[in-house]
Amino acid sequence: MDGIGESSESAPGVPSSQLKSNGSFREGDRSPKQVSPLRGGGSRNTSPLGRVGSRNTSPSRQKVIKTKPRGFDEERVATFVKAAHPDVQMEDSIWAMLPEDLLNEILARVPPFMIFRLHSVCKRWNSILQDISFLKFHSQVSSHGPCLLTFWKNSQIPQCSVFSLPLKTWYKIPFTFLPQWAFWLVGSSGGLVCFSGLDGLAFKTLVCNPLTQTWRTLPIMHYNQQRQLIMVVDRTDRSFKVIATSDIYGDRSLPTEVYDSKLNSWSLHQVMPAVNLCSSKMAYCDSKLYLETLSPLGLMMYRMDASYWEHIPAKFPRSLLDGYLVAGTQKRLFLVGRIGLYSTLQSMRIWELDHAKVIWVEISRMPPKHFRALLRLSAERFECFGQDNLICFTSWNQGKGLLYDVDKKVWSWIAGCALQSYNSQVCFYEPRFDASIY
Amino acid sequence: MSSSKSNKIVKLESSDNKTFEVEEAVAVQSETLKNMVDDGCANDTIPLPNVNGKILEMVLGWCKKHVDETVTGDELNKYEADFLDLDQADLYGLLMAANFLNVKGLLDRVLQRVADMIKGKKPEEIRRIFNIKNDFTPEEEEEIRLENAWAFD
Repeated sequence: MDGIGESSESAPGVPSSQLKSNGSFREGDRSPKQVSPLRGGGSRNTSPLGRVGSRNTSPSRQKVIKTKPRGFDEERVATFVKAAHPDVQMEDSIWAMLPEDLLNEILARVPPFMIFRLHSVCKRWNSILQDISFLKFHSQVSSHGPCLLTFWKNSQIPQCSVFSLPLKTWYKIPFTFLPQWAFWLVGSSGGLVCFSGLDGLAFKTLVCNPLTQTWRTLPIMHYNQQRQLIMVVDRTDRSFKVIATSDIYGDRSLPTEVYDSKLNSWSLHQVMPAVNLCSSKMAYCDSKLYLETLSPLGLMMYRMDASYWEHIPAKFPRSLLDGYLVAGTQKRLFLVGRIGLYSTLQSMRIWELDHAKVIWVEISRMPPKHFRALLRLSAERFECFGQDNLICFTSWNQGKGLLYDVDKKVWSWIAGCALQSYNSQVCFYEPRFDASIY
Repeated sequence: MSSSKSNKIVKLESSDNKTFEVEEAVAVQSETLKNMVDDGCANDTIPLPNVNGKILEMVLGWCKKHVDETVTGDELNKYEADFLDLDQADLYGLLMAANFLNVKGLLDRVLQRVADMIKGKKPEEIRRIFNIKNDFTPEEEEEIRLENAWAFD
């Protein structure tokens, strides 16, 4: 979290004078090089807000801070301190006889980022990522995440940092393999990450697996325009699709195009019925793509199997200021946004679509103290995205992250480092070795 | 899995000649035993030469708990968490038994427990524990360490 309290209003890019960093903002430094003010010390340990420069390595409760920002809940920060690994003594006389397949099954359960540490054990472990048996077990583990992937460019050099929520640790993945033109983070699904960008006049897309450092540019679309994209991976089918809908300015009617990795080509689909301006957020669940139209405010759905656009006549809440569509697990679809035109009366709410009744049902409201801490000014911008029933809010100016677990109904702050600045993009990510770019 | 209405008893004998009698519903939590029951080989006492009495008792205790319909979700979670509070030798024995008997839930838990134990360890320790020979030259090892330096915190 950045230094809220004193100089939090400093513009991104201006290093706060009160920060004590253990070096300049250099390449190779472990902490992510965000432009907005960083936590003191450069370490990934959370420091209580306002107590910049202190390095709290204790996994226990945080000390009470002197300057508490209005509405900030320090209790929640305490729960996100980096997990300590209890060191259990293991005796070689017992474990030396462990059969290889069981060893592979155990390694498949080690968090992917921690596998890299094991490479120097011996030659066989160094090539574990090519071991079929290990990959098979690894792919059977249902979830290796969730993580938050942050992407930005530091004077043309791509940077990527991943925050692992289970491990509560940031990892700066080497991203030098990315071509220069890759500029926009489209999103991530099933371990793959998709980027788009303009290579000269050509609008291109690529997919990559950051863990295996493999990547591939996809064929060019039929209509070479900068477009709204979404990528979805089907793990059971071992394939992925990229869907391109409207162009980003929303003023052209283009046929929806779908890239299918099994065919390695784009196919043309129905043009979306004429609507003005689509929001940039799309959500995909249950083989349906949902998109919000802004003028008029409405919900459009594209059935992948039937290939046609449909208007879903669910009435949107009145006085809705922003509408983010977030896909949950299975068929769940959420709408997130602020209600209320006047800043003093605003609240952030979450609705879920009742597919049968075709109505938005309010399921949660952000507690006012979190709302005030997240958005200090009513005009502040924030991003909202989600995956697997987790919804993340990041505030542009403050580089903070707030997480809502829909199932557990728990709100928690993600502390430890600035998450987003004006030039970084964030999405959920699941590190998987078995995610294939083909 | 609902308990079957048949009151069939399955008899098992451990490597150290201890006999255990359990209901079929409990025994079939083990895929291995389930296959034997389905194939009609479970009428006599089944010998389990790879599993000793102490471990077998633990495994059967786990299986019993998981067919008991009176146990709540929270109770089961606590039971599972406390269950693995074992010394190394027992944990290893449990791993081998759960693997041999193919008790999926238990095996998964034990595997995860071992993964959690090794994930923070240094390479030298890993080599010692699993009796692995370091076949890298010091230069090679250093190169690999540098390559993966980003993953160290």
